[in-house]
Amino acid sequence: MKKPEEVVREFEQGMARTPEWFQDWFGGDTLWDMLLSNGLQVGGIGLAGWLLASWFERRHLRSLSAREAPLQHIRINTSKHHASCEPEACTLLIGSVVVAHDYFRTLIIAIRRLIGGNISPYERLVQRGRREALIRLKEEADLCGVDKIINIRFGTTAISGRFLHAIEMVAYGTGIRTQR
Amino acid sequence: MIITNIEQVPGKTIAQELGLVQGSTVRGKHLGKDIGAFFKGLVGGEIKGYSELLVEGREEAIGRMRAEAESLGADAIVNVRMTTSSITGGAAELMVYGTAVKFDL
Repeated sequence: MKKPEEVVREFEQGMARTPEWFQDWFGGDTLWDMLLSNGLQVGGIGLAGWLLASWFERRHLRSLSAREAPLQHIRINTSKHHASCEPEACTLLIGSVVVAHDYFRTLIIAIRRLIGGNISPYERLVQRGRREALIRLKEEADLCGVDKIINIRFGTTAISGRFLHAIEMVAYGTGIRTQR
Repeated sequence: MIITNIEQVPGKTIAQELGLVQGSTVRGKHLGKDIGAFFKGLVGGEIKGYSELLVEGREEAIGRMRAEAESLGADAIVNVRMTTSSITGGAAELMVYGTAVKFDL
């Protein structure tokens, strides 16, 4: 087990070997100095990511409302019963999407989870993801030429990538054609 | 082959149940997609690489289920369910299962 002073000394020796521009940007004479000066840069990158993420979120919500409007004629229900329809048009339809948070918000959520209660950033993310999955389902229904989806089911799964954790939303149901 | 997730096929009578058919696949993406996902994680939102992975995986799983049903001589697969589980970093298991049936002639 190394002593903390040794770790700090080794780190400083390592820093001394890095190129000058690197030291200028991330540098500092000691480790503590460096951590202090870098706090601002790391915070800045995090904040920029957060602002961009909010912008992307608003843009996504706008596109969701725009795509929902022309798909209104496709009716959806959770019942297994159905009116008379043509058997050859009957097909399984699937819509799915994988969504993830930005890293800054993941940090905020980690802090928020200490207290418990509703985690509103996650609520917004899963709702957005589910709307997207539902729209993809309806778009597929539109492509297949069916006008009703019965027995719809939702699924949510946590997907762990190599570097980030995401959530998969899937919606599936049976598409039927009730009129020509 | 007609695939539904309700218990029958509208307008057809089921003559014979041939039993459970299933298809599953475990798929991963190459490292490049994972690195892409890492950068997409800076701003969040949809991770296209992983969406693709799961859509392809599900198609593959349905294809395998369909092949099994065809080998049994089925006309349709009813009451289909699906599950997804994360096996390890960057890989997911997709499974679909249902009941293969034969129609009345």
